[in-house]
Amino acid sequence: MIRKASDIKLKVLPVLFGMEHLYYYEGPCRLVDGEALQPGFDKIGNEMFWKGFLDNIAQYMPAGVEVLEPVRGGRTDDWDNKETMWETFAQAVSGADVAFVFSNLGVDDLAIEFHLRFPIPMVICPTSSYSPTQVYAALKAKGRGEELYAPMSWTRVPLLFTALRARKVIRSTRILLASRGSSTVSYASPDTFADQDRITRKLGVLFRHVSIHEVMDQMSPALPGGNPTTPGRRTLDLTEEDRAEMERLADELLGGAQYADVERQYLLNSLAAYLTVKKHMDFADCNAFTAPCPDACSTRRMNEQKFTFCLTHSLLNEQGIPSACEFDANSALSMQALIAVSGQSPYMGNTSPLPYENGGFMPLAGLSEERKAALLADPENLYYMHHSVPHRCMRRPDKREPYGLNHFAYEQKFGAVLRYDFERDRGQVVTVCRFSPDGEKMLIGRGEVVGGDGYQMPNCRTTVIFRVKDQEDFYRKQLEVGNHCALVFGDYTRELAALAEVLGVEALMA
Amino acid sequence: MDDRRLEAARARIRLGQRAAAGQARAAREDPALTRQSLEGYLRQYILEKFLLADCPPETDELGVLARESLARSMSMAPGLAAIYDTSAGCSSASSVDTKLALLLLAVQKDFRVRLDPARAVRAERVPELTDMIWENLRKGL
Repeated sequence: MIRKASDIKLKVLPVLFGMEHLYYYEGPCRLVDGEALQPGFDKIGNEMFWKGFLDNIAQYMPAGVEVLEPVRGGRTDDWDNKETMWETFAQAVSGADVAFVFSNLGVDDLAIEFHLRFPIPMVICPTSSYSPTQVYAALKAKGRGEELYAPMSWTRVPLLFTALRARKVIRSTRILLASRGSSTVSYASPDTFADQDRITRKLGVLFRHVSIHEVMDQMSPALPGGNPTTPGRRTLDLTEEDRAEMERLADELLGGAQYADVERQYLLNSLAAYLTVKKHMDFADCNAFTAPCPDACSTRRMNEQKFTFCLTHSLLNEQGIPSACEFDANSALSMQALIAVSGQSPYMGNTSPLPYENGGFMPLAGLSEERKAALLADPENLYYMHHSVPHRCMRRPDKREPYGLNHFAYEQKFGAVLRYDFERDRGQVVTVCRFSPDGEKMLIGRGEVVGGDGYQMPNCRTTVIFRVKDQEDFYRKQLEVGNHCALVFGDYTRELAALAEVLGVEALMA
Repeated sequence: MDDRRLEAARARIRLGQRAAAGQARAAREDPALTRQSLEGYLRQYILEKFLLADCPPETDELGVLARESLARSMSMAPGLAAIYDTSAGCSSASSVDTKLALLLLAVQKDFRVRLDPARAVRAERVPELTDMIWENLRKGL
């Protein structure tokens, strides 16, 4: 099953602690007068506190959070601490990702004991009297401050829970790598995750592998006796249902395109690749994908079968399933981070500065001379990103934008690619990110689109040009992370920085 | 603090409490009590308790009534703020929350019903609280 980021919910357990006085008396623990000193008032008072807490949760929880049935606990002024209460909590905690605790005067020790007993992340309600500082400091001193959060006010709660949920998405990421030679690094992307085990330990991501030859064998109907790479085995070969789906998708893509410069048969070949990859992802329970395009290209099989993986990546990305070019698992995870915090469908590509020196731009790949000439009017602090995997939902995941269809191979014109015109997005803010190859850092950049290039061009040619705050600073930080970056529309730099913090990753803000 | 204003305010409060208790007693002793008439008694009870009977606000939202009551009390005698403003204490209670909690405690005592605290605090309007009291009265609790 492909478990998309949008399917992943952060399960939050509200834990309500309260204290009840059993007798009428006054003294340093009685902070009320009149009827409020009478037995019975605290029961109502506690419910009032808890109602306010739960109402705030309903108001401030971001999307992607599931609030579980609250559990109540506490004590009387006998200073009791019942194991039966903890047994009830244990059952509730087993289904939760995060505990959101309401504490108060007289029960803070119970909140502390909760975190000592149950090692799930705990957030302390900001309006729990003086509890946030008391509970946090006490637990920190006991060496248990790592997964403890105490937002200063309710307005800070949405960002925290966005980050915690996005972290769950990252930890739930299973990347399927269709390997040719190396199972980690391709010739095209030496800056990807070379040590996958390290990434698993640091970020919780899991890596699954499949032979790209087996995948390519399965892009056609089953052979009697099995495929050459898997003789005698039943495999995920193309079925009649797949063919029908290919035809349907081809009709849909051709019917909606502003222009189509690719033959239907070559479009169908690319769709065969897409469906085969998706079946493998479903089989392997993976929710991200990458294939080594240049490494696999040299087998000549793509030339023989007349397809590329570009359309696969585009169609998966537009569904919110990260799919990266050039065996760059790092890009896939970076796209997943953007999906997790924004809900948007990302783009990815070679990312480079456009230095303006001596009255002109450096000669650089991926940008036409015509486009460079147009940028001379305002040439400072420019960056650009180009690749071949835009899609139909670039601005919003639920809305299709105008697109074109072109081909990758210049001469034979196979390899269907989607085209998107970033020229229409001038002035729009974009967020750019990429993890470092060791998973210890994350570039988080913000830019403003100044134009696009390549809408009518074949090959690896869809470009977005954006202006950053400080090109030199952006570049120095990009050197820490690598080439391919992921991009979405909108400013999600705060959310990414919050995600980096809960992941224990250094945020390189640019 | 003006002692005469404070004493006058306290006298006004005692009057309001007695008038409220009268409404609850009338409800308990009404042989033809219906849910609708109970709502009338309860609303008047709350207005008397909250010292709003002289100029009742056009709302049945309990939170709004509590806030209005606090505002009028403090304007009657600013020194009363020290007593009414429970948000100055060490607990998380806002003054409005405390006032509503006290109301629920008093309603149970004066109407002689027992309300489930978790449910009672969720009553946001007079009709919702009426429903809970009516349910209790019919069960004979």
